[in-house]
Amino acid sequence: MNKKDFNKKLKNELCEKDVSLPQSLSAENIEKLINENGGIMDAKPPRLHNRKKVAKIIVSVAASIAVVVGAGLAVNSNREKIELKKQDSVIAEKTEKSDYGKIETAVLKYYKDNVYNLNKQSNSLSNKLSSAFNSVIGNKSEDKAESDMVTGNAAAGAADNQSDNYSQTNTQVEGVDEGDLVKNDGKYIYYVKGNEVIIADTQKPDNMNIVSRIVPSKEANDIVNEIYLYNDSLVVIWSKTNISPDESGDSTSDGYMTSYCYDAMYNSDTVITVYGLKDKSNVTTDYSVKVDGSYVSSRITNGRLIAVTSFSIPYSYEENNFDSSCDKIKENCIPSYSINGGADRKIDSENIYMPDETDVREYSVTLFKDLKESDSEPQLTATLGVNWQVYCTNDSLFVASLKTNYIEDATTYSDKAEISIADVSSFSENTVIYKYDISDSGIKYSCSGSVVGEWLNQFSMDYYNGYFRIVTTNFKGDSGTMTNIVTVLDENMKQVGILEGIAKGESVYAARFLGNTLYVVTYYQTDPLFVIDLSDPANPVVKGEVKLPGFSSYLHPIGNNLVLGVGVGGNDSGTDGSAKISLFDVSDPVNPKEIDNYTVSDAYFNSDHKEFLKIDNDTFGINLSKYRYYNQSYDSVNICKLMMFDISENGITLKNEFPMMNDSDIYYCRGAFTGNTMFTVDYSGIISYNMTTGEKISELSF
Amino acid sequence: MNNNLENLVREAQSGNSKAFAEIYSFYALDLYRFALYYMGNSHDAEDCVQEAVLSAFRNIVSLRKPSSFKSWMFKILSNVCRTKLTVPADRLYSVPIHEIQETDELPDNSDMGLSAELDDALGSLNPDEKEIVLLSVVGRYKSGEIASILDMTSGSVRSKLSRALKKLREILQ
Repeated sequence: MNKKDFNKKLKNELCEKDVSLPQSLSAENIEKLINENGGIMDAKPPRLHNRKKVAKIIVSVAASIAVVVGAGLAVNSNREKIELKKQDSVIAEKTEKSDYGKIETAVLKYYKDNVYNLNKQSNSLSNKLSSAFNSVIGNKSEDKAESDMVTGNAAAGAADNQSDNYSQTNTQVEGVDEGDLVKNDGKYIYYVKGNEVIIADTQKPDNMNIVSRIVPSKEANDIVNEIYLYNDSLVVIWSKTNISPDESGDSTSDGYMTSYCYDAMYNSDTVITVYGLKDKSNVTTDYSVKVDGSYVSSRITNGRLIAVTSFSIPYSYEENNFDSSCDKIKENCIPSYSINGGADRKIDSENIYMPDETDVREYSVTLFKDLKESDSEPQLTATLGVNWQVYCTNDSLFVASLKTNYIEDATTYSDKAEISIADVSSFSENTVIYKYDISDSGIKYSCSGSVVGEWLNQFSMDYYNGYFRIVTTNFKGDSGTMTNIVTVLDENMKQVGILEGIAKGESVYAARFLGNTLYVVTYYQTDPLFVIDLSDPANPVVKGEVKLPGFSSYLHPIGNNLVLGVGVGGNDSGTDGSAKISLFDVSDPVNPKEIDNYTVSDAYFNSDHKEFLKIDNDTFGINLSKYRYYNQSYDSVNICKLMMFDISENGITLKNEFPMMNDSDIYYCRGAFTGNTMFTVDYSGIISYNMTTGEKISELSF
Repeated sequence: MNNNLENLVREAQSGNSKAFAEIYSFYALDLYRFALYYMGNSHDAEDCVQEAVLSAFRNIVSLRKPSSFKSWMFKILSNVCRTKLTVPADRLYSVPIHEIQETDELPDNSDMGLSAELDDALGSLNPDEKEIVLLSVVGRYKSGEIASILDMTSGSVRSKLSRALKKLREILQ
């Protein structure tokens, strides 16, 4: 059986075999089940419907439910085809400044070759193409999550005064703040809840209260992504969804639902609103700027805000009307912005760049705004190409994108239903990194470089002493097995050194650069921690390694000699469902050792670096989610709590545990502290605790 | 329709179980198929879907984007299925395990409607691979979407999917 036949067979077997929904799972019975279990508020163990009993009860209910399935394929496969097709490099314009005419020409050529002609060939394609096209951008979803992950320590000039000692967001680079869902200024806690920002007065831990709720947009689909505190300002970055209901096509098919989801998520604009906090109960709107493109990530360094969005060029396909399509595309192919609700302005052609062999589906848009000068003009650049991940230092911004090269020719996939399955085994991936200079009072595109393989997250990248270093996994190594690579690039993003073949058959699970050393965790059944010496940029070498069961997904340096790994426990045959932190002694790089660990069964530590709480030099808070058991019954709702550990050369000691108010939302909880008061914050509210005794002081519901 | 979805999600968020059931009905069969092939028998599949639904309803307040309901629901379901496979059975059921065996037939896979070969082949995949294959084939998700459901990068999803399909093909040849 060739691959194509196989994929078809698999699809037939899995999707077209007649499976009928058991009656216990009909919509009516699900509603009943929910009601019997007390709805939202009740957290008793669930009483599941026994199949047989249910069958008896509802035997008379002949209701058949309308289950909508199946129609998603046409849309999806078009999309896939486009992705395959676009590999013909469209423009070979050398990077450097461009003008609108050049961009329009390139974009229209791309449209003609890749969208219009493709559509003409296939009669089955419909005008849904536009939404399908935009859905390609859905690939970035993981990095949306990633960008949520990025949060800054309140670094340069954030909330200046305030009581003694209070928590700030754990960031990758010292002095470069990252946005987060929670910020603390030592007096107030700011929390992002859906489309609002709640400001809670926490100065009296026994009497906390909400002083205001800021709602940048009343539209239900508009959400707040991240916030920053800077001096007396609250910077709110939110997404304005601009999909109108009728643009998303057919309302009955599952295909519609799928494409709508991704349109709504990715076809949005980013708005940055700066609020004045002088009077917390009467917050003023000082400034706002709206930028085309959905939010990717941002930083604040030296009082300058740098935000990155990705703007996908709207290609709407109109059958038999090539010219009018082209006019529309021309009209819309330059990203624009507006200040304080004013008129839209196109980004100046001088600030639009077309790197060589770029991808013309999408722009990476960067906004630079000096927060120190409240009336300063923002500076914008746009670079054609898909962006996915951001790394930023005080002087340079790096935007990474993945360039996928499909090896097989798209035209062989005439049967669209199988493209999504069939194409996967034939790709190679390169990471392209765009470098921007932000050392002066503005932002300038400087150059780009390319390395083999795919990065894991922002911690995969680092810039130190003039060298950019990146660790990537090549999922398709020469021999077909995956392997890991460290590449060192110079200031012009030209390769100066490379270390290949690290941990064959494993992929990177965590990385951390510290000066001239890279700690990297790879995993396949067991977790090696590698210590890689980068002191000779031309010649990176593995100094030592230690193999352990399980793996770490976040690495945090403690002092000069220790590295803490937050992750998952395991045994020789893989992971075992436990949460684990490991403490490594790396004082001898040739011979790293695990000196202590702490595990909790049936649980996991949240390894988002923004959730990691530094309390002092050897005290840290880590959020744990643990599955909850009632007697012998299992409830899939988690218990979520902040665990406070002493971590030093002497090992790991649990000091206290602080439960979250709502124990089920594992994504949006944080710990924060001011002085000796610990706060747990989640979407339900804040609980204050005495940090030393662990005693609860009071709570505030949102 | 999308307004409809948003409205339904908002309704559900305010505690309306009927609205929730209506959203659920759009995806019911896909969710069940996923659980069925993942767990390998209809008994466990039913339990998983029910548990996932209850958990989803309790937590729907935390769904920030109504539009991502489907992938959020799959995420919960895949967590429930995964846990069921890894946590010992006696901790999973409120009914002691011996009672289940007395009153119920033992779980079997004859109700999956799959050929024995494919059933065996699926069984030979590790949970990660199975999840990815099912999300791709049954859930019709693209690698980037699967990546966001499973908290992985799209590169590793593609590479795992490719490996899993290769494995299946080798077994089935």
